[in-house]
Amino acid sequence: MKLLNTKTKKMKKVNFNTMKKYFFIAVMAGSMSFVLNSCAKKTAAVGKTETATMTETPGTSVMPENKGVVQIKRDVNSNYVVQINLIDLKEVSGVKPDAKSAYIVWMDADMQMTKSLGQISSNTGWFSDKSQASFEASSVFKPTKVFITEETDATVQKPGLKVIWATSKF
Amino acid sequence: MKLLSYTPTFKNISSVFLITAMMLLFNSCARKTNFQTSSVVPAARGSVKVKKDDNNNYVIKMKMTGLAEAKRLEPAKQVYVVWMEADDHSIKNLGQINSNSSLLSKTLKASFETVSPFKPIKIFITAEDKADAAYPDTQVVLSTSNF
Repeated sequence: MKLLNTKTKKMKKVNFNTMKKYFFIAVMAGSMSFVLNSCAKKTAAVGKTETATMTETPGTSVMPENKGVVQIKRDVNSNYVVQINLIDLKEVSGVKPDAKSAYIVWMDADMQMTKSLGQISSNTGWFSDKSQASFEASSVFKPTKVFITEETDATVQKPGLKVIWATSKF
Repeated sequence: MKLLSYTPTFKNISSVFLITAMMLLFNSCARKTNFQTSSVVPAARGSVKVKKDDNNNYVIKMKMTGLAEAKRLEPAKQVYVVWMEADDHSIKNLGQINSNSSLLSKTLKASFETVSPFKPIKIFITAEDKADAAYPDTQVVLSTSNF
């Protein structure tokens, strides 16, 4: 009887320790995934929108099979928000970019000026589709055309000649 | 006996992991800088967060309170424009920012978000007559110190 009691106590202790172990693993996994997610880019966080213009990109001679959508919206501060979603950036470019190259998004403004909006690259998130690429930037200038070039320097002031994707004029 | 000696070690390791993760979480990846007190709009307070996004651009987020309407300034202006000084010392117009109060609160609030491929070293706000000004006005309403 005494032996049985000791065994039951041991069982209880083992169960309790196992539960504690699983609890710690769950807490650790939860907090680690939260930490890793905290650096992720939050999209569409521009608040209210007034008007939206959607432009389907035309098939260009550079990449006729390319598929992408540009949306132009106005945010709460009345700036123009440019949202781009590409189905396959590598397919769009046609070549695998080397380590030095970057895809730069440009916009032509209604004042005959061309402005760099930033870099675009394929999605890298754990749960995101890595074949897709998304981009969002805002500008005080009204865009009339959006295009992407391949550059060796991400901070170039003027677009290079290698245009890999372009919209028609809005 | 083995289990008893294993459990405290496991607990210690877990605690260290947990603390590290929590520190990382609260530290986040963003760099937060407060605006310096303004002599033009002394009631205005705000902060700027700069971090890198998945596309390797710099995300600039700004939140402000107490920024009076530009039309109430002396001399009166039309809009507030956010500017950044890049690490190559060029000045870029990031866009306009509007200050509004909500239905539930009379506090003037403003928020702004944009991305730039250029690394910002300073963010400042000027009052302008046109939102698409190419160069900032000489009178700076609010400014951060250099990052």
